[in-house]
Parts: sequence; structure tokens; C-alpha cells
Amino acid sequence: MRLILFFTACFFSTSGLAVSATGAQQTTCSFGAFVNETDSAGLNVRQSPNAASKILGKLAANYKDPDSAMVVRVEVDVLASQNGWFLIEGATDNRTLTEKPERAMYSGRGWVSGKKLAIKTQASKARLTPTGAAATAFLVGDVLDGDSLSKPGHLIACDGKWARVEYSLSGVPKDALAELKINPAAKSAGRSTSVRGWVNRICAIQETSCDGLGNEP
Amino acid sequence: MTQNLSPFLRGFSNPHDLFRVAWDFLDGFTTVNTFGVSFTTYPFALSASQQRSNQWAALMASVPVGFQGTLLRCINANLRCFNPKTKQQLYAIPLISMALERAKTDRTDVRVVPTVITPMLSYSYYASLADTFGAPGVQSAVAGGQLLMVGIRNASGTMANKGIGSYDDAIVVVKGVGAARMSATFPACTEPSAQYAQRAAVDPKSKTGERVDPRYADVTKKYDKNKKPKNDGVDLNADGILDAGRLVAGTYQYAEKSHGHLGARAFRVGSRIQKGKKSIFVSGPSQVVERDTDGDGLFSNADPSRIDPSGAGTSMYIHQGGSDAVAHPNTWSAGCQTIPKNRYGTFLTHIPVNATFYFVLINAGA
Repeated sequence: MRLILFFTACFFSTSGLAVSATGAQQTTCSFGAFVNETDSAGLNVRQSPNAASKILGKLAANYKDPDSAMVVRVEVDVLASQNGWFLIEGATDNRTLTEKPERAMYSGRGWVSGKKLAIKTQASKARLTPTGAAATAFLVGDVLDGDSLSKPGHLIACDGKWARVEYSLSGVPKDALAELKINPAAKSAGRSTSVRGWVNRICAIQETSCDGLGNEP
Repeated sequence: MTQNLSPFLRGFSNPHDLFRVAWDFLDGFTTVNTFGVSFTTYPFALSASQQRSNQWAALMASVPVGFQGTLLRCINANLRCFNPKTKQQLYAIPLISMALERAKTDRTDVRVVPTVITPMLSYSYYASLADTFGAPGVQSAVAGGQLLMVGIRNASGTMANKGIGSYDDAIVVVKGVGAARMSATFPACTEPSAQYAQRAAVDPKSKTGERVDPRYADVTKKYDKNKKPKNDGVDLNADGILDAGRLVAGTYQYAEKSHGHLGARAFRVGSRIQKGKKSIFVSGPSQVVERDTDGDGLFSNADPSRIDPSGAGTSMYIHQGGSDAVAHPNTWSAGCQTIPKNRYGTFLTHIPVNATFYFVLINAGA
């Protein structure tokens, strides 16, 4: 009933945009992301896209493999975004990687902050807008398919199969920074220490690099 | 006689180094047989051709059973350093010319060799495979003792072990260590596992929970919590189903990718270049894969339209997979080349940080 009430609070347009009862724009999307939560208490899933909203449940924190440096993150399906918050569902442990029983966590629909979400992609470029023809925001290279940028990076919006990512440059390793080749237009407004760009070709499986996402033209 | 100092000789001599054995044979072929007896003083009235045939037979008999093919490949490799006259004399004997020519393409002895063989024999075996089946450029890498990897693939099918993959292939590190040469063999997986195949998912149109492809009924499919399948692949033949892909056998240049994979170093097609003090990864070309378009779990000529030149992009990494110290190892491969994580640390000790190297992937003989 709660979810039904939630969805009746929005009306979707044919363009994938929806406007909530509060007037904020909501954008629909569909891809897999990873929950990057280091607090052992877990990540709150909320009823609405704001920090004051009712807590529906929690998602488990990152799992650290005791035998290696591997960090395994909870996997979720992303359905929409609004004001830096993301509507997710289907949260699950990656038992292939943890080799442990599934941890108890909320797996229904709800909202989480984009600051706790990460993606990986086979895209080589982040774009200024969510189309393949848009200007390059920065070069991705291996940057968004590796381990070192999970901390400084997070999601801020989504649109269809595209995700908008933001990286705090102060947290990016120097060697990675050299690979980014940032378009000045990608610098976040008023914040020269972070960059934003749109990426597609998102890989939703942590242990693979996702065969089938192809090459960009 | 020789035109150049053998690139395969680095100041050591080992009877199990078949590159050395081959070199010695060729070096003495025109004048002296393998027993050190000059043909000119040979006491029997055999023709030169007969003497050389006997010499050849003795040489072949001198190597361990099953390594005659290796010796042939080593002879072919060394022949490039000899003057044309040596090759002419060898090829004047049909028995020899046929054997050497056949060795250039013959894969019947391509396999993962037993670990009980000597280190130098193992090195000779894998290095000669790289030399023979590698693309131009690999030969000089072998001769120079550069780091390279040889992948030996046994076709096991995507549905092996209920679709979680099998470590029945091998990745072999071949390189020089100072003056010496060495190889190190690791169990590996070079084929995708059906746990990531759309065919293994429950058919959303089925009321009885049948799979998209009933042949995949025993596969342990990967889903999210809401039973949404995790699928990889490309619908290459436009039948509405994603097709799993594996790297086509051949030579690829790999380099250490930036930022690792799953908490460990990993490798991606490309190279690393030095810019000042920084090492920059430069992506290689899109990798060609062959896809199981008929869905039988095998990659063969029976798959219509199976060659996919671009769908995989550069996603076929070399990275760690699940441990093989458990009852049911999961290879974590949707087409990548994976090595068990419990062996991966040792594997990495053989590879310098930010290395660029050739990977020669060979399909094992039938």
C-alpha cells in the first residue's frame, strides 16, 4: 500500500520525466548500480527522495573479503532519480563474490542518496548531456571500471540508460587525474574541485566487465 | 653456418631446453651429425641424404615422448637465424621438410602439459607454441625473453558445472629472468559461463518457470533479488536472445589496466606508455569474439554468424576468478580470462607493475 501511495504521488510524462507532488522533476531510468556504504550500520532506504523521509529499511554495508583487498558492494536496480536521490529496488548481496549466505536487507522499492551509489561502465567518454552525440565532458578510460575511484565518485542523476556521475577531484589519484582530460564545461557550477558527466554502457555485474556493451563510435 | 648469435641462447645449457637442442642440431647439420662424427669421415657408404635422415631420426628419438612437436617448433624458430643453405639442405629431405611444415600449423599436441615435466621442457613447450602460433612480433618477444602469456583453451562449453564455469584451461607466463628462461602455469578459464546467459533465465512468458532455452534447465542462473536476470552477451543473429562470446584464438597485446578489478591488479587489451613520470594506459582495438549463436553451449562452426568484431569492445580482461580450493569453483567469467583468486597472488608475482605483454591464445588440439 505504501508503494502504491508513493507512485500515485507522481505522474509520469511520455518523455520519461515525472513531476512529484512537490514539483521537483523526476527522471526514469533503468540500469544496475552498486551501494557504496562503509558504515557498518548500513544505508537507509527512504520512502521519498529526501533525508527527512520515513526509513523503509536498510541496505548492507560493503563486504570486505578477509583474504584479499576485494570489496563487494550490494547491487541494486535503479529506476529513477530526483534531486540527487535514486529510486532503487531489488537490493541483493553478490553471493558469487562473498561466497556467504545473503545478508538480511531491504529489497523493495525506496529512495537512497546518490552519494552512496556507484556504477561501472565500459564507456570511454563521459558526455555533457545524456546522448552519444554530446560533447565530451571527460575521458573515462579505465577510470569508471576500477577500484580506486569508488570513494570520490557518486551518482547525481539518471536518464534512461545513462547515469550522471560526479567526481571530487581532490579524491582522485594523481595518475587517474591525468587520464581524465577534463572539458572545463564539465566542472560543476561553483565547484572547481569536482567534475560531472553522463555515461552509458553501464555494467551491472561486479565480477565481470560485461561482454556486450560494445565499442563507442 | 649461423648468421647471428642465437637469440635463444643466453649462456646456459640444459638438455631439456629444446631450443638449445634444436640449435645444436642445426649448427652441426651441414657438416657434423648429432654424435659429433663428421660426414666426411663417416665409415659407411651411406649417401649424405641417408645419413641426414638417420641423424634426424636419432634426434627425434632423443626427446621425451610427446615433445617431438615441440622440437620441430624449436627448429623452425631457430632456422630463422641460419643462412638459407641450412634450410635448403633440411628441406631437400622430404621427411624433414614435411615434418617442419606440418609443425607450423599442427595443434594436435597443444595441451596443458603435466606438471611433472622439467622446468626447461615446460618452457620450451610453451615458448615454442607462442613462437609458432603468435602473430608477428611474438617471435622476437620469445627470443628476447620478454614477458608473454600463452593461453591453452580446452573447449568445455558454457554449461559446464551447472553453468558456473570450469578451470580446465591454462594461462602460462613465459619470460626471461636474467640469462635464464622460465614458465609458470596456472589453471584458468577462457570461456564464458552460462550463469550470465540469457538462455538460462526463466522465460518471463512461461507459466511453469521454464528457461528461455530448455537446454539450460540445470544452469545455476544469476539473478537479482527480484529475479531479474543478470545477462551478458550480444544478440548477434537477431533471434531475440543474447549470445555468449569467447575471445577468438589469436594474439592480443594486453597491459595492466588502471585501477584494478575486484581489489586486485587486472589486465586489459591495450598498452601502457610513459609520459614523464606517469604510466598511461592506452586502450587497444575492439576484441573479436565468437558467439554461441545456436545456444548449444559450444563455440563452433555450427554457430551461424558467429564472429562478432565489435560487440565485446575491450571487455575481455584477464582478472581473478573464484577460488578453486572449494568443491564447486565459480570462474566469474562472462568471457574474460580468469585465474582462481587463491592462485592469483602468485600469478601476479610474475608480472611487473604496469607491464605490457602479448597474450597468445591457442585452442587445444582435439
